[in-house]
Amino acid sequence: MTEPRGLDRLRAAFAQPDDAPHPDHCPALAEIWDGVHGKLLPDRLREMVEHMATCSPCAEAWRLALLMERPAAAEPIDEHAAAQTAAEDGAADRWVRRPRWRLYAALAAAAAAALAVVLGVHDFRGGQPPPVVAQRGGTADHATATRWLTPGEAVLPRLGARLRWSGVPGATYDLTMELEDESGAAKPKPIASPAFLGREVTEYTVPMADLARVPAGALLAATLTAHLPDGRSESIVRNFRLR
Amino acid sequence: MPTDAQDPPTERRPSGGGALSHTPLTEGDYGRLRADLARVVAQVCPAWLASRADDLVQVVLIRVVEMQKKREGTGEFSAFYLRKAAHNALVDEIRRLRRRQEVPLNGEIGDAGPVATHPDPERHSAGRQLGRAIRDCLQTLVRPRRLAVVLNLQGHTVPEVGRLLRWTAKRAENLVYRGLADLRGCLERRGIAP
Repeated sequence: MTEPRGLDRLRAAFAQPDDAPHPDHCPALAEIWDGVHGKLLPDRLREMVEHMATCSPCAEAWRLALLMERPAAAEPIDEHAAAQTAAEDGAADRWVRRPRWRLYAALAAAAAAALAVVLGVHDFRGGQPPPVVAQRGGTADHATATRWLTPGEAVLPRLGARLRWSGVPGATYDLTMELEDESGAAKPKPIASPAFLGREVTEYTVPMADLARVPAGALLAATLTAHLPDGRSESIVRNFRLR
Repeated sequence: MPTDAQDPPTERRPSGGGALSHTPLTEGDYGRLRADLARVVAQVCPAWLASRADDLVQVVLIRVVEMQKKREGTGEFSAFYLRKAAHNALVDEIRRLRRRQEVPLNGEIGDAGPVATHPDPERHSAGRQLGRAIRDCLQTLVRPRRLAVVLNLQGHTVPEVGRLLRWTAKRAENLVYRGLADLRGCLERRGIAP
C-alpha cells in the first residue's frame, strides 16, 4: 500500500501537540491502554475517542499504546484502492450501483454513437468499472472536475429541495441521497427513489414524496458520481439539512 | 538504539493481547519490551527529546521493574501487564520531561539535538496551524463520522475502526471516507489545503 499524501499530512498534523487548553477529566492511561486493546464498553470507548478529538496529550498516549503493539507504524489506508473497492463493492448494499451498470449495458446495446465513445474505454476494460479518480474525499493529488454549487449544510425545503452542481460537458451523473443517523445507532437509509442515474443535467429536485417520512432537521448525505467523457468516474459527497 | 540482541534466545511470542494475561514473564519479554520501547520512542520522540531517547527507554524500564517488585507476591505480572505498565511509564516520563523543559506541548524548542527530521519553523508552524484547524473541523462532523475519523487519524486502519467501534466493515468504511471528505471540505472552507 502506498501512503496517500493527503492522509499522511492530516495524520501528521493531527499528531502535532496543541498548546490550547485541554478538557478536564482526561481518562487514566490504563483506560487508554484498554481502549486501544478493545477492552472498554462501547459507550466509554466512544466518549474517549470524542475526548481525543480535542485533547492532544490523550491522543498522543493513545498513539503510543498503538505503536507499542505494532511492529511498524500504523498501516495507512490506501484511499485509491479503497475507492475502487467502494465503487465495486458498493453494489452489495447500495441500490444505486447495480442499476447503474445495467443502464450502461442497455445504453451500450443501443450503440448510440456518442455514448459508444464514452463507454468505449469501459468496454475495452472487459466490463470493469471505470477507474475512480476521486471518491468519498479523494486524495489531495486529484482535483475533481465536478463541484457542488449548492452549499454544504444548506437547509433544503421539502417542496423544491434542489441540488445543483457543475461539471465537464458530456459528463453524466448518478445521485444518491441517504438519511444519516447522527447518533450512529443506525445505518444510513437511502431516501431518494433510484431515478437519477446516467443523467446529463446538473441539478436534481428531490421529490417531496421521498422526503415525506424524513424528520425535520435531518441530515441528508448526497453522493454524486460523475462519469466523465474520458471514461473516468469521480464521486463527491456533501451534507444537507432538511428544513 | 539498544536492542535485545544480547538477550538469551527465547521462544518468540506475540506482543500484548489479552491471551497473554496470565503467562509468566521471561527474559525475552523484557528484551522485546526494551526493543519495542526503543522503536516507539524513536518514532514519536520530539526533536528536543531525541538526544535522550536511550535514557528515556532506560528510565521506563527501571520504573517497570520497580513496579514489578512492588507487585511481587500480590499477583501475576504478566507480559500484557508489563507492556501496559511500560506504556504508562513512557507517557508519564515524556510528559515529565516536557514540563521540566518548561516548554509548551509543542516541545520543539530548546536543545533540538541532532535530529534530521526536525522541520523548519515555517513548516512546523503550518503543521500546527493545520492541526488546530483539524481539531476545530472535527467538532463540525456528525458524531459517527467524527469517531471514525479520529481513530483513522490516530493510525487505525478502516477494519480496526470497525472492530473498535463495533461497526460492520462496510459501515466503518463509509463513515471514514465520508468523514474525511467532510473534514477536507471544512478545511478548504477555511482556506487550508489539506
